[in-house]
Amino acid sequence: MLSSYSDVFGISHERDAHEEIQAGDLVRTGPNQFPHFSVIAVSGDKAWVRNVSTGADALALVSRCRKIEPALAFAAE
Amino acid sequence: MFATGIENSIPKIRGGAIRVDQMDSCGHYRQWRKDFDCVEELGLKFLRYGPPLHTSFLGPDRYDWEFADVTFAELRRRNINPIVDLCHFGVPDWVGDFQNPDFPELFAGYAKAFAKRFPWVQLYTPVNEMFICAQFSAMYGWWNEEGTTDRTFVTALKHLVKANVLAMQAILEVRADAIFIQSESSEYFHAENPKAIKPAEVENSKRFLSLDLNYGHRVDSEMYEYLLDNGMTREEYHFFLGNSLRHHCILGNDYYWTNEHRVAANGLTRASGEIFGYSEITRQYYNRYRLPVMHTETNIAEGPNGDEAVNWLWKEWANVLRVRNDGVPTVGFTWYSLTDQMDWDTALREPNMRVHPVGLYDLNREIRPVGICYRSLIADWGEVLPTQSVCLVVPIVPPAEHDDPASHRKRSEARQLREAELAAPEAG
Repeated sequence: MLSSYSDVFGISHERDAHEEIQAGDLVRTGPNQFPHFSVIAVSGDKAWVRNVSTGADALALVSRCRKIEPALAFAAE
Repeated sequence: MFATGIENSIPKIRGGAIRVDQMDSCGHYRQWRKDFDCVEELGLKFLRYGPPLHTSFLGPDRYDWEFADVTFAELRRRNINPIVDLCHFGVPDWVGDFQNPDFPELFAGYAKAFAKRFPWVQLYTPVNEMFICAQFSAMYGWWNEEGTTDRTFVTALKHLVKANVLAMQAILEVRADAIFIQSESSEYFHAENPKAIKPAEVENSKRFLSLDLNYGHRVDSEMYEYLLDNGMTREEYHFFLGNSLRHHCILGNDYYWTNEHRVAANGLTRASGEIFGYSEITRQYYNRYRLPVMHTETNIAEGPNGDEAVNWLWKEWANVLRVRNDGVPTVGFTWYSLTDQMDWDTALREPNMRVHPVGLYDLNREIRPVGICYRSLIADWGEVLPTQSVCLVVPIVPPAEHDDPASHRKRSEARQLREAELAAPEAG
């Protein structure tokens, strides 16, 4: 469980439906367009993700990852 | 005042070959009506907003108000108070760049024409972030003239601030009760080691230059020498001392996690991340200028956890409350901008069309977690800021009340005060 003011405002970041996230997937980590991440590896409830714009690496909760169709990956609108 | 803004930066890059237009790349020209829906959905009544200068200002005394006419009419209909941002990091092609000495007078003419066409508009940021505009255009070589010397920097800075002052004067001729909300970057430079103290002090003096000139605040002796060594004349300096309109102004300051810097002994700077934070740095600016304060820009990109911006919003709001509780008259807060932006990850230097996910809404106009949080914050705290002191309420006339007899009376009184000011300029 991450400590966040999302708790104060009752904001849920979890996706509603089950998706299997694997290394190599292109994902976003919330309901919105962007930022996009490529999944480097998955271990338990954590995914090692890389921001495709900045190259920055981070750990994300797998439950927050949503797959992106490759064709939509660079559509801004 | 809780606010957001429509990002409208228009610098030219790549030797002038490419015009950046954030309202185009972020979809505002096509979705402006939806954007105003989003502003209302958040419960906001204040919007930093401006017409595109490069396509509205066609030449001396020549204007194209087509887009402004429809969008401002809609803002008025919705009773949203625009804080009108007339120049955001760029000028029309025919003006050239910020080295052009004609820019201040030309821009003042544009500001006056806008004020006459939209007389119900009361709140203005004539020139946005003058310091950053001069630094990126004329010191770092990133935008517009792409200058890289102290002389190009000082030239751009004096033109930008003079343009701002002349525009304020011109707007006051039309609307004597106009209120000017600066939106200036608030910075701090930290010395890495004892040998870096002197260069850090110099940078900490330079950061005040735009507001010092704008408010007619005497610069320190080192900055005076710096300005005169780099092309400012004594007469130009005295123009700023003698034309202060600070009593019509709110000290709007912007703060991002990139606003603090580390300085090395050789004077080179690099990002330090947030060290002091908004409240400490704002106190420094307030102690210098003693004007009411408004936090006019902040944001942070959403990251892998999805709640980075939510936490940053809360932190900035807590800082605003800290400043207020320390006795600084604090009148507003702004998350900038309404939607995601484009290419700000490279400070607009590269036209990569990369989405910068800092908005309250994404570019599909879907609300982000930070938008949901801001909506709650506005609902919960909206009545609290004004109760700081009922004697220090900003005298704003909402668009819907512009034609009321009471508003006519207020404007008439403001005109009389302005005439008295002009008759005794040294009193300002």
